[in-house]
Amino acid sequence: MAEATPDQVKVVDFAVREHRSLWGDAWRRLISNRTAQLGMFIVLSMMLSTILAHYFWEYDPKSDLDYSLKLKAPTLIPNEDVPSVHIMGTDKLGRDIFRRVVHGGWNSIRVGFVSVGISLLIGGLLGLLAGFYESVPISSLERYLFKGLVGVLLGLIPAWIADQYSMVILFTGVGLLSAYADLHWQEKSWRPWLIILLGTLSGALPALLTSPYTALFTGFLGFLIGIMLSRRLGGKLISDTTMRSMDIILAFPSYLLAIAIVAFLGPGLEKGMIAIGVVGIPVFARLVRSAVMSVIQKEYILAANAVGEGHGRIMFRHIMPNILSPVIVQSTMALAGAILSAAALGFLGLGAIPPEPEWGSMLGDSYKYLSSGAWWAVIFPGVAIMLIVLGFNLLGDGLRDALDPKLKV
Amino acid sequence: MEQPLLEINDLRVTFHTDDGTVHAVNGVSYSIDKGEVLGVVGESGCGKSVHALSIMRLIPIPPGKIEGGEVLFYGKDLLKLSLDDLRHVRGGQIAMVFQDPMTSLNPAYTVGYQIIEALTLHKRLDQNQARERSAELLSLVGIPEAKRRLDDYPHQFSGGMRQRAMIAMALSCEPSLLIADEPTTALDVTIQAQIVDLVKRLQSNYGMAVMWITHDLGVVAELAHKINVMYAGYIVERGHARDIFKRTRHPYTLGLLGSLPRLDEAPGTRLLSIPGLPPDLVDLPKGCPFVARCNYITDICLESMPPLESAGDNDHLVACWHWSAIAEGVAK
Amino acid sequence: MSAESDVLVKVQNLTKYFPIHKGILTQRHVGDVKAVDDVSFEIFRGETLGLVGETGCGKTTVGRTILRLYEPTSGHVFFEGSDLMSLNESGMRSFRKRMQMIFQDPYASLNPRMTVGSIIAAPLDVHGVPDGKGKNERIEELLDMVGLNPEFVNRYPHEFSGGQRQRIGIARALAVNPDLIICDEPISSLDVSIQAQVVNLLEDLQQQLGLTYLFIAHDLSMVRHISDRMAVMYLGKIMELADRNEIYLRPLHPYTQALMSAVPVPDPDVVENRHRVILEGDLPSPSNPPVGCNFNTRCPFVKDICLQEEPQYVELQPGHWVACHFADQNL
Repeated sequence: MAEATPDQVKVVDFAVREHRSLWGDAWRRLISNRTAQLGMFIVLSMMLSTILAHYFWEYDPKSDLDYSLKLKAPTLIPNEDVPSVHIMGTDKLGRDIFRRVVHGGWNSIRVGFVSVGISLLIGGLLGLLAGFYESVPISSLERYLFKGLVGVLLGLIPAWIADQYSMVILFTGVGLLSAYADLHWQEKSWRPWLIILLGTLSGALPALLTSPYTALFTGFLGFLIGIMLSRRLGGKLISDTTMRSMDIILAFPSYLLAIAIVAFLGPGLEKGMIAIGVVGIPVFARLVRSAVMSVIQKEYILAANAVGEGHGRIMFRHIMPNILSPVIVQSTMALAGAILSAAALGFLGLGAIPPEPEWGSMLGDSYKYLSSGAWWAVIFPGVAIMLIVLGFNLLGDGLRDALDPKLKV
Repeated sequence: MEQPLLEINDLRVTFHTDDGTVHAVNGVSYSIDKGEVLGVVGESGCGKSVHALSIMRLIPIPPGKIEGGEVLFYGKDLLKLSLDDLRHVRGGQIAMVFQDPMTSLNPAYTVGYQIIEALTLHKRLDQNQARERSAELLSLVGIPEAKRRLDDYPHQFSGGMRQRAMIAMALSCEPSLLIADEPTTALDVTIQAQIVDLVKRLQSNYGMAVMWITHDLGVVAELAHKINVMYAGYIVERGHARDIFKRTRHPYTLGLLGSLPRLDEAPGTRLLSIPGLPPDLVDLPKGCPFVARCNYITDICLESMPPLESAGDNDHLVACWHWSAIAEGVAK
Repeated sequence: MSAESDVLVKVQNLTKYFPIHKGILTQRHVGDVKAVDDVSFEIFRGETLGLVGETGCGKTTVGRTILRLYEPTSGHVFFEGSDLMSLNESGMRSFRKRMQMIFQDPYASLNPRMTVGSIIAAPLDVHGVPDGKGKNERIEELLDMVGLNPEFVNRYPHEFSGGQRQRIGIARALAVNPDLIICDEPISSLDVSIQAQVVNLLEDLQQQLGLTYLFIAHDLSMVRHISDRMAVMYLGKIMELADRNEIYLRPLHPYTQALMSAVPVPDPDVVENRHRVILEGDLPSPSNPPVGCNFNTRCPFVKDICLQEEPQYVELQPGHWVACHFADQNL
């Protein structure tokens, strides 16, 4: 067989599958999924109606009051008793429930998005850092950045107590110095002690301008911060610190923690958002961390390292898109949860401040009248909550099916 | 002539997926005699595993579907058997060994428990007898201190030992046919040599038939009497091992042999690779499935699939319109 | 060929241990997986050095440690005389441009969310485009070079077969004109006919571009096919290193002999006539290698000295290195 086949470098070339991205694939599966269709329909129609109402249907809750129409049953045809149409009836102050349900949706959905945004952003970032540095060594620049940032953030606490914001600069300096010490680490060295001393001094000295007692207290805080900064920064330390703090948050029953935070911050829709957002952080931190840790084992991350790509590029170009699927599913589910929590806070009178319409507080206002037969004042806001939660959950289920690569044939 | 052990006639298997119907096995016919070792060779997606799983109806249905054909085992059609009767055949008269020894043993139970379970399922043995027999089987497949190792969990076994344990389990009911689906692909060469040696020894001692499915022509050269070469769901060449290697008649088999470097080759030898890719099983070409990669094509190849016909003597079958031209080429 | 100036990479006493930790509250260091244990060899410019061995013998770790994807426990790697292990991150980056890698699993080594174009562009973004060409121009040139249609730039990896994906991986490795490419089992997950295509492509590229390969694989006949010299590893150590013909005709180490005889040959005549050495038992765990010679648990010729003393890795003949107490008796 001397006459060998001339080897064609130009192979007969065809792509094995038709051209579409994984996201496109997922989208096609999503829109052909019945559950997801239903969920999407509920969510989109409810969101659209409240958004349109917010911008195009004026409503001033402060002036909306008509005792003559107090607790009227749903009326579709105006009569002498009820001269206007109220398809969902009126509440104890004679306000149209339909109108308040539609406008209340704006608040509920806003709470949902903002609080999930808070949990996702903070939790996701913490999870990303914790998962990433558990398997990748920290570079020198990152070390300065981390320790400096820790100095700033922790320094803010004594600075706020003593009302001496110059302290923050000092603590940042200590942080950067400790990063330098990290890079030139020696076993059994006096350097950690120096950092603890500097931390104590940065806490104590500026506070003397306020009062000696404050200086004593902030000096102690500075000592603690010094101890933290004197530890050598490693991936394990970052991960352990973050995940143990997450465990602490998770140790509280979530509603109780949200109520406690609102009690600390004071009532109000915005405070409610922050409270619900904080409670949701650990879920995202854990999810993202485990997703990052599984993606980082993949050979394409190794390939990116071999090419010489930097940590930032690896994190945001390679890891992020590949952990997005579970995060999207979890966010959708968390939206349902957040709306439910917001309603619970509202029901307890800790959410929106009356007379702002909000589904939970509408329930809380009206359940007393259930015994006197005014079912409509409770049913309609309740149904609204149920529908939007159901909608988001169905959508989340559909997304999970669409994004789960295991179902791909 | 004696009735063959297993006779497959025109077996067709498809899978229904989102992208269309995958034609995995497209009319496969052959037979295995008692005590024969048959090597089934082909690349991934050629239907070699699917057709073997279909023999015992082990493919997932749906998406899979056995479209037609018959599988006669001792003259009984396995495709028409009730599931209860089929269960007696599975593991009892036909046993299987799979590719991945890491996942084919259940990690939650000891190795001994799993062999004993296989034994008591098909044979009337009490616990003590079954344990005795299991230890015997383990030492038969070359696991030292077999009695003690019965109580080990799979993770305490190395890959090669797990595959031995799987073979012990398959042998437990003295099957008349052992189907080994890429049993050494996941193993190292030195371990592979051990396993091949073991199966050869067991086969000649017990006289069972073996169907050895692999992508590695080298391994079948070691132990197979007859070889089926599969491509795109068809058998393209079938014959005695020596004929396949020495009197190759199909261009695909030629290409496969040319793709393998030989340990004793001269420096500077270039591999004769087969250009291109295997065809899309959803959208098979009208004629011969190998046309896109073949050097011998003429118009007829594009028009119709060549039948599997005799290429001379000695049960040598080939599905190519130009096998005689190739025969001359090989003879040169 | 062995002139000192021709050495591109010199690996000296390279050692990589992966520590094993145990304990719930405090992590105690209870031992090491000795993945690579005191390995030395040289790679000459323009040659292919094959590194062959079984699962867990440390061949992949050697490749990754040379590129400093793993930090070595000890030892040196000199690239054109400069010690890579003493460089910091930014110093290393300039060398990454000259050493690239091809990975085993073409399904896992390409980011599924990135297009073929952006995968190949990654090294260009980091190190710049060589020869002052446009980035897109360079990508198309690379795709053409590895035998893919340049129109595939905007497609995703999952649209391709394993062999095509491996070509994409090769294009990525070639992007910045490296001198050395470490091929880490580049063909073992491909079908036989596709393997030959990829090996031929690698050989062609080597000729065209004057590349140097470290070719890591477990398939002895394929390694022998592509290599100029080859090294056999077992349990973290190199057992034998020699020219491809020398090692085939005169294997001095019993492990090499056994490995050669275990390779399946697709030829019934050879099968009938050859003498097979079938090794007993399995590989010992690299976390607990045997005392003395690493191979003493499976060696058919084991003697007392093998159980006590570790054999020296010596150059028994010019260019033929071996680590066995009795290698000179096999000469």
